[in-house]
Amino acid sequence: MERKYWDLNHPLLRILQHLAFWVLSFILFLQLFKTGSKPEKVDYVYTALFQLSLLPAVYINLELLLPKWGKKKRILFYLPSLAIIIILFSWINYNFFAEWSAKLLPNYFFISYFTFKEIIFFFTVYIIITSLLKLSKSWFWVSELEKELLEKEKQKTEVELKALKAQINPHFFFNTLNNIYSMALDKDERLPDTILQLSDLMRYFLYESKDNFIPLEKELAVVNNYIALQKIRSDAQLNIEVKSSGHINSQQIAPLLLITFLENAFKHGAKGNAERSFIRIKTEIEKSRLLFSVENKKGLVDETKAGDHGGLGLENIKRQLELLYPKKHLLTIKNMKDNFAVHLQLDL
Amino acid sequence: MKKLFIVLVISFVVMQSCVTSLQPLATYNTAIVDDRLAGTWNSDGQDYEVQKFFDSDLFKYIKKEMDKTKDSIDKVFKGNVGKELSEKEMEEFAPILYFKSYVITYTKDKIEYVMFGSMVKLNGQFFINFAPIDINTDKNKGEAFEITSTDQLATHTIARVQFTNSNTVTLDFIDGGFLYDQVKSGRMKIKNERDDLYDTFLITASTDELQQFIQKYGNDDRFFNKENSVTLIRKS
Repeated sequence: MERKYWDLNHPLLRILQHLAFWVLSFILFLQLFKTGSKPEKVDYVYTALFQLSLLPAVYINLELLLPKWGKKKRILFYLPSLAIIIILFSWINYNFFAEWSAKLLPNYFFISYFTFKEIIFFFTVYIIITSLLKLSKSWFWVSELEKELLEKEKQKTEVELKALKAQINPHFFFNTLNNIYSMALDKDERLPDTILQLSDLMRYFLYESKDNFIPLEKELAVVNNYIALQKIRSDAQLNIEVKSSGHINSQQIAPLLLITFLENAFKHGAKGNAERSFIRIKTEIEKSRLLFSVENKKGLVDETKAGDHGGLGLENIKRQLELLYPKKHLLTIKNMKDNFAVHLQLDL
Repeated sequence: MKKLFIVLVISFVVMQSCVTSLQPLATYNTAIVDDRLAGTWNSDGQDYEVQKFFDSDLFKYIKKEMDKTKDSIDKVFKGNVGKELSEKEMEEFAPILYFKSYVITYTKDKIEYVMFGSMVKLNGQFFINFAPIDINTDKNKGEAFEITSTDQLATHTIARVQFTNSNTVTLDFIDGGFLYDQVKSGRMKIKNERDDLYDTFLITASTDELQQFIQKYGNDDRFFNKENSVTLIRKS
């Protein structure tokens, strides 16, 4: 990804930040080190050289020691290494000004105006300040990354949810269209109503289920519509019980959650067990809680492959619940010998 | 006042091309007394009397004056006069640098000049720090010290000491002109006070900084003007 210029870690901006720091530091040192009321040429040279001796110590610490051993567990490596670096460069600083500069810069005359101990103290303070600056910058960076990560996670969730919804729709429409096809062949008089109900459902699936949350009232209306549709295609012997209680206010719910359970029940429980087959649907609405249960008699003839009892649909719905209702849902699935029951408790 | 003026004029004329410092180069702890320097020396027909402080006429005068009072010098220093003091004793007696110095006396045009010379060894070389104490004419001889008893601050002049042999010593004075040029051109970083009106300057760096400078540049011949060098030949 191309970095923007205003990104704190853009290489150009980083160089500018470091330059700005050293320029400010130079100005401060110059004021501290100057001999008279205004800095002379030698003060600029002395200050620049003093600062130059700080550079390697600072960057060895920032670029090597701190990233490699600056963590809590490596502090035993970090501190002695840092001490060695500080002592080494303080020694270089002291000797440069006390002796070496006489030969290296024969036309400038200065001495080391600080004792070796004072220079060590000076270096230590400077290393601490630059380390703190680096850590504070890293802290901002990490917080930016965290924000970015959260945004990415959100985007990922959205995409995943869309994909999950997209898996539901074809399932449902494929089954219903098959059913309509059968009704057309039989010239069933309920066909127009069925197509109308399907049309309503399609509108819901196509347009209204795109949001993460919709009014509970709408979802329940679709549930009823769906049940009506399924009743049409089911055997006459299938006993469908629908019970609902509670009052709907302005509660919101993730679309298509409940339909998936119904679809599952009808798919697996409506065939081949003519005498005793049933589907019981119960909806209880409390203030901000929804209790939804679907129980069905297992069919002798499953519309899906054996051993795949609700596999894809239920896994899909479990994932949706994790994404949309983290720690706000309780899903219990009971796969008994003859019956299959799903209980969902949702904090709306 | 007249005498003070004379001192200033002489200081200016004699040490014109030498550097003057507000602080001495030596301290009590770093000063050394070398017997080779004591004696009577001659340079260009001028005699110089160099005495170790406790052997000097100056000390004898001070002792005599103090003995007249109840605070005799032996009483004050508990018999430690002239001895090398331990750190504990130094804390107790707060010795002054001149206990480990020389008293240098010379007479010119019937005026006697007295100054302290404090020697120090830096980077293997000897350096001496001169500070004026007194000037005596026939009229004021025996009076209190003219310079140290006034509110005038004594300044210090520094020279490198080279013992050529036991009878010859060379003093190379630090070239004040060179130092002043470096300071003016912004090439030397040393605390100083400049007087642009009279085009003079005084080094105000601490003794420690002075020592560091001398230690570092004591071998740099640019710091010493050979024209200012004085060769002393032992007379006795």
